[in-house]
Amino acid sequence: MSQPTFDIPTGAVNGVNRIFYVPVDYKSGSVQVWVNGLLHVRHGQNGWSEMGGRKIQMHEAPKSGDYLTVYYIPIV
Amino acid sequence: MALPHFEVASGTIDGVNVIFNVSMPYKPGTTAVFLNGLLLREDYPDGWLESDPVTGEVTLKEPPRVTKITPDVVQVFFIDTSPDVLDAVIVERLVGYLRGVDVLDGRLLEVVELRGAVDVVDGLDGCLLDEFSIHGELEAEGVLHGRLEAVC
Repeated sequence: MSQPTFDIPTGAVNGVNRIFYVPVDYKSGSVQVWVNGLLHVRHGQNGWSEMGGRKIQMHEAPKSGDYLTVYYIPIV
Repeated sequence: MALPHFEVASGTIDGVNVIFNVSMPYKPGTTAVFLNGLLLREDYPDGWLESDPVTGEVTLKEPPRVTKITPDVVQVFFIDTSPDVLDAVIVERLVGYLRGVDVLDGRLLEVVELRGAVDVVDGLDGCLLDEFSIHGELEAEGVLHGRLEAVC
């Protein structure tokens, strides 16, 4: 069983990009995203979609200067 | 098995103290610190250091404050250091005998068929004694859950 982890996702934070990646594939349904330390609501306007693999798509592009943190359960 | 925890850290909230503790040792690299519910970033100036995983100590880069209303609250997510005995293990090469296999958690390499008494299995050098079947299930391409009672 793999352990949940917090990671800083890769991807440009520039007000345009909405695609971010965590270092390893995640278990479906396990992703949670914080923007500037605040936990967002997955299905909300500023939430995210799990695209599978390592990929996450934010519903709104984070602005320059924002910081994202992702919680997920890796697939071993 | 190592487990995740989420605790209110112990430590003085006085605008000076930066040392906080969770109740048990944590696995290095697994902490996440929340200040008043806000997730901090470890590498930022207001982040934290995993100063002593063995004693469960983290050091905040800025001291939490006491406001006129209420003191700050420091919460820490972490994974404890219990042995990962139930974690999936990749068994590259296993030499020995399997006796009374109930639960075996690992990965078998190049196993084509396991049926009846088996003397030599590719990637698993040894003997399966008195086993006419293996009780367990294969999941995700070759992970066999079972307990390995003796390796010799």
